[in-house]
Amino acid sequence: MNERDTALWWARIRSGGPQRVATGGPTPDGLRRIVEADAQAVWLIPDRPESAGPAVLAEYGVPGPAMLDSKGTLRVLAACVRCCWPDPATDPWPGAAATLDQVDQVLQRLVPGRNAVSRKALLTGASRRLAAAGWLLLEGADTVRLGPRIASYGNLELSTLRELWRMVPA
Amino acid sequence: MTEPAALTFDDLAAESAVLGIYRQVFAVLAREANGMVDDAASVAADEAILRAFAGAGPAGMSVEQVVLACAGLPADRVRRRFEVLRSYRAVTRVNERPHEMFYQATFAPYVMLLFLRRLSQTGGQAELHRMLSMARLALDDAGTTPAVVREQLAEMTTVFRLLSNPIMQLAKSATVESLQAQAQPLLGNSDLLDKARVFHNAAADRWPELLPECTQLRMALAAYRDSLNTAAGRLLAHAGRTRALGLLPTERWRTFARESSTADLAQALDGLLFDAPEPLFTVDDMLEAVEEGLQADAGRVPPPRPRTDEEPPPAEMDTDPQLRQLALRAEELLAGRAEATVAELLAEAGDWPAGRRVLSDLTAIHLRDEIPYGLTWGDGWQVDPTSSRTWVSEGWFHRS
Repeated sequence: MNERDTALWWARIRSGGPQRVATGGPTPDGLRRIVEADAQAVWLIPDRPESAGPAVLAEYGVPGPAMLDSKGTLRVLAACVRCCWPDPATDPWPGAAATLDQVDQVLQRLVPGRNAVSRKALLTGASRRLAAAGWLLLEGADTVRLGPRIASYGNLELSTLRELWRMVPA
Repeated sequence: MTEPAALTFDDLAAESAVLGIYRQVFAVLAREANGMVDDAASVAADEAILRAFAGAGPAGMSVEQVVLACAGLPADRVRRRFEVLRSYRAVTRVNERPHEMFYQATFAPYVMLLFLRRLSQTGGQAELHRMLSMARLALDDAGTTPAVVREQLAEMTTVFRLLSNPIMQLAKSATVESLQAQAQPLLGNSDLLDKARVFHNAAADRWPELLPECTQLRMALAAYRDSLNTAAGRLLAHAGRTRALGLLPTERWRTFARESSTADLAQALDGLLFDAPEPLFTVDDMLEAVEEGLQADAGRVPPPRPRTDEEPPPAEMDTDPQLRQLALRAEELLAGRAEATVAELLAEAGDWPAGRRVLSDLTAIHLRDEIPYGLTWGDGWQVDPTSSRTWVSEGWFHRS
């Protein structure tokens, strides 16, 4: 893999998010491979040091890409983490699949005061947005899995994520 | 004549465009310089005169009638133009005899005016398209002779030479601004080139002996394309890649956008890299959002809604509170009996002030139809001079 290919892979990831490739190929510099549960494919995600990730934007006060209804979206993501990560002692990736109904059950506790219809709308919209950004994987109409970007959380963040997992009522 | 100072710049530009073409075409017709049209108002006068004749019908019009019909224009100018038109035989006498007063107009000058007007608006390209189409159709006609086609080929060669020369001159040595202003109507017609090429191919196929003329046309076409490319290249270099949208008419861009494939459209973005829509969610953000959600238990108050479909309206709202009081009072007065005489009730009340209150209560209860009590008066009469009530009418208070 020469420099040009590496640059091309970086460009793909920058414009298209995490890339799913067949197993057995080479890994470009600075990218990390994370293997699917069935080991039939791998995802390439950037392996950046802590001081070079997108968190730098917040550090310098530069507005990053905005997401619609970010609080609600974050709660949906938290509910998905709770449902798709059966054992918090392990890594969240690859996790397990969960149906949207299960996620909805959890979400009910996180968004009090919403009726079923508006919660359904939130869940559908947020899961699509999260899937577009690589945080979730939508499989079929009503099954959801954690996306490869979850795997980019470091150890420190994972411990917080575990705390979150315990906090969210199942 | 129109006062030049009274015209806006745009009016002036439009007029001079019409006039320029007018002068070009009629230069070959006018014999001496003062016979030529030299201001835009004359064109308007011509149009008005011809329109007046069109409205006049077959009887024709006299000069005075024409002047009257062109009321918006100065009479002397109309007379002058009338003379000019008559000298070119655009306006003729109805009957060729002395002292004939009525004139009629021919249609050709008006057609020419229309043609000129459109030519000045589109730069003559639409007419060129039509000429090419007609020449192409003529090739399929069995009656067409090689001589006719040779003549057409020569005409086309001349047209394309004349088209390409000024563009090339502008592209080579004029300022970019004048190139933008003048070359725009001459640019952007690959259709024209395609049509000319089709005509050329068909002619060369049918009459191989016309190949020299075809070669001339081909060279003229190549020169036109070269000059177009040079001019477009210069304009593009000046405007930058993305701001050269004004080069083509708007509709052309719309057509392109509507009919192109995804790949064609994507070509425009070659070399550009867009960031994926990937907002970063830190775990702390997520934690905060979840905590907020958990704490905000029932913190969300539903907005007020009309109470039509929910809980039924309270039953007490429409009943009179006094009614209930009166019913209670009636029960109290009856004290379990089904019926009591008024005299009894008054006696129970004691002195007159209390008796008065009982009496008013009884009347009030009787007058309310909603509660099931009534007061019936009889003809009896009870007198007791020792009591404070010296007489009492006979009456019964009862449940109805």
